[in-house]
Amino acid sequence: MTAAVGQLARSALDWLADLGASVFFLLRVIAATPVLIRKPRLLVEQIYSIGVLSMVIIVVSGLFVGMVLALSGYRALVQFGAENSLGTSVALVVVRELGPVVTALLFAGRAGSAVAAEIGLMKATDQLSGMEMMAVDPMRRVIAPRFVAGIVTLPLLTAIFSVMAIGAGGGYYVGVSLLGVDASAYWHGIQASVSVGDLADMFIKSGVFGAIITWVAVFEGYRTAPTSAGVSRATTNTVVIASLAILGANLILTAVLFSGGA
Amino acid sequence: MQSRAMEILVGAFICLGVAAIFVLTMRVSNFHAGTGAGYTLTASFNDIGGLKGGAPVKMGGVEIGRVTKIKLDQQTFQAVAKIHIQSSYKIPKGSTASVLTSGLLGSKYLGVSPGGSPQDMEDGDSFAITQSALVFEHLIGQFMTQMSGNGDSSSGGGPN
Repeated sequence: MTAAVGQLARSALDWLADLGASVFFLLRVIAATPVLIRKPRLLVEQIYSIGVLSMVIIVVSGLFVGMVLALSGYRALVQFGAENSLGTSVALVVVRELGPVVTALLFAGRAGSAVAAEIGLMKATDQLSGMEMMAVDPMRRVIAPRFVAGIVTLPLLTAIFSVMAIGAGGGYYVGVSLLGVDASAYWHGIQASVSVGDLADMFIKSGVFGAIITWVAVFEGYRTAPTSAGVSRATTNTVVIASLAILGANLILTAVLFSGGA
Repeated sequence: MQSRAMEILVGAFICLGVAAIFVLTMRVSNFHAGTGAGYTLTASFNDIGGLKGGAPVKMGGVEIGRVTKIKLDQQTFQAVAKIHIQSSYKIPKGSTASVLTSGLLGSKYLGVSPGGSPQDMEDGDSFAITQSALVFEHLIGQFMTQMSGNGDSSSGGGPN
């Protein structure tokens, strides 16, 4: 019994120590970001590998999510003769919740895991210590560009996801072209119900999610055990921790932004 | 060459993202309401219901303009809707403006029924005849009052 309590206390202390270490790590990353002003190329490379290479999954998912929302929304609304409100329901769900959250979860799976694996492998093959030996700060050269690239790219990816889900390919195609909802009613419903403030909230959310995902990814990659098992664990931890953190942060952000807008 | 291709792709990605933000903002907001060539009319209502700025103005089911602004007249305590009509559409004087709903649960819009005058309305004119929104709560209230009134008279009326 005592041993179990001791084990529990040790686990709690370990967890707190990890959290503290990750916060110190984040502060070091933020302190290293000014280097990107002098060397923007580092950021461009990371926007390519994190953002451009994630485009396909985001675009395809946006299309399918929009189609499904339009189909299920139509089925529910047509019972009340309110199928003209389809645009409203699709846009509200996408802009307020699904856009930022689904894009962030996909981003954590696609880009977050790749960043953690890449940094973990660099550590396992002593590339990071090699840089330090050559007086190159890996924090500036490797970590900071990936962190900033996550914050920059996720809002853009969220916008692309939302346009795909609401617009021509997704909800609009199924709702207007296939199910016969009036096109002007579809767009007017969106304009009447979604405000520019909702869009601003969406981009605030996705910026925060981008920071969370890349923070978790670079931290897990940087502190991983330099073995193949360590790299694998870092990748898994990144996806699990980042996904849970996104869902938790979404609740907090929605509550804060909702109370701010009310 | 490899790095140039990467730069082009990153540039295209940024452009696409910014374009997506632009499309979302323009589609969602009512920026286009009140813009373009046209003229402005006003209509006063006792109850405007759920009509909002940006709502379409329709004549014979065809969209001819948009509601640009709604405010309360502090003198008459009526809701005043400012309406932007596209210049290609003419509205005869004596026309009626009504707050209508598209479908049972649809959004509100302003319906214009044409009047009989040979002259057209001009910039700054206001609708002389308006019909307020049909508020279901009032209808139900009236119905309930009527029902209870009938009930009272039937129960109260004894044999004479």
